[in-house]
Amino acid sequence: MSGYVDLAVLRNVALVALLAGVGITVLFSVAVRAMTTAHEEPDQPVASSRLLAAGCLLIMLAAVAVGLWAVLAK
Amino acid sequence: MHDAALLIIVVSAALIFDFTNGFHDTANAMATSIATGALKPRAAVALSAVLNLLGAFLSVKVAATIAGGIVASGAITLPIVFAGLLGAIMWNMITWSVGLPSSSSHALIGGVIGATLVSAGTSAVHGHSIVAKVVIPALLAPVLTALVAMLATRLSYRIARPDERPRSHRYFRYGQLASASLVSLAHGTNDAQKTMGVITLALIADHQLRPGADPPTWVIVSCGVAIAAGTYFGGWRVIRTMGHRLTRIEAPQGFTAQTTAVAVLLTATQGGLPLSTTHITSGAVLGTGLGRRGAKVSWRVAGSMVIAWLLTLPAAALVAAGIGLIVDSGGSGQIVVVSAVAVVLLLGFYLWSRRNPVSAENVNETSDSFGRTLSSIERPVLETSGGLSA
Repeated sequence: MSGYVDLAVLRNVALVALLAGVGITVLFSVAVRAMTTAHEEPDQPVASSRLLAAGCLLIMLAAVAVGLWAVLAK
Repeated sequence: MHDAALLIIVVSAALIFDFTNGFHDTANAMATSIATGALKPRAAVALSAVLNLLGAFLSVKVAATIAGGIVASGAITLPIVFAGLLGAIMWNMITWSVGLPSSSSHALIGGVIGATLVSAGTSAVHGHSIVAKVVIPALLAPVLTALVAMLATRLSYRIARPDERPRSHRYFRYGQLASASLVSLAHGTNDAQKTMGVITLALIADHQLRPGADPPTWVIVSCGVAIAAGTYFGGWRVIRTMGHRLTRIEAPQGFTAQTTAVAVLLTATQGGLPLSTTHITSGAVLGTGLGRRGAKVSWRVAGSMVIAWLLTLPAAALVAAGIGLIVDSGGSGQIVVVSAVAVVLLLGFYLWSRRNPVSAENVNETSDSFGRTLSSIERPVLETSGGLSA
């Protein structure tokens, strides 16, 4: 197969896709967990849960923006 | 036939292909959002249509390289482009009428290869490039995406615990708005450009443009509008297959499937690997079905999809080769007759599909109009809190 496809490119694509796909999903899941905690467990500190959720969503948005920029600027 | 008339026929065929590409691939972005109730069906296809249109204007890089390396560019003539497009359109209509997601890009490539083979011979077809650019990516893309989606789904359910916290489904449905929008944008950027590339090739073959030229503005606009119109038309049959027949989708799975699909699509585009949106999104749905504990995957439906994928390129090539044999050696009469027959066949496909209509109203129903159960694995359970209007 190496005669047809650059295996180094293939490995990089697989690695970055894995990190991006899993990373963004995990960040969003942490944000969802924090938001549901803030809503369903009022005895827990609400502000810290919301801060965690906001932080995760911001990192996620930044990752998506960088990804789009990298592709469109190519 | 006068060249201008032939060019008009070829451009019309390209725009019809773009339209079929739009409605065939609406499922890629929106099937899981519709299945989980994140978006109402009409709102979903409207949002997808707008983003496909927007995506068509973002870049012309793919258009500039379409068919490059697959066949010898010097061998391309208007009849070859016409035959290739008809082969792709016919295969898209066949797979749509049975509700199977298959790659429009592979249909187009297969069509061009088949028509070139009969018109210019085997020397005009670059076998090495076809293996490298089409065959190997087609084998790797669904497997890679399924693995990423399976892992992401497992982690997502472990972290967010949607089974214990029903409210989280609502947040995941909001997330699906963003992830589905990104898939639609990526689809518009990739697939609209393929038709732009074909029309540009036709214009170059007709000496209207110099070789290597970018698509003119009217080509970009018309391709964007055609794919958006096709998307809004809604390929409800394929949406039903992707959303319900392959596996039962919950909102966290829908979000994960779309996110991993976008991640793989954008990363592969950046890495220069041309992948099919259909293969990626189907692999993601399959992976997310495997990733959720207790979820089941219909391997019968998955097997049918894989068979359709394997058949896409040779079947489109075969149809295009047959058409190529007729139009390449003949004159204007043959092209007019073939066009008329194609229109009749398209109408036939549409009328045949009306016997068992699938629309925005019944896309989420679990049995068709004959009372047959669509999926024997599980009945889909839609969240009862309603969709989010876009």
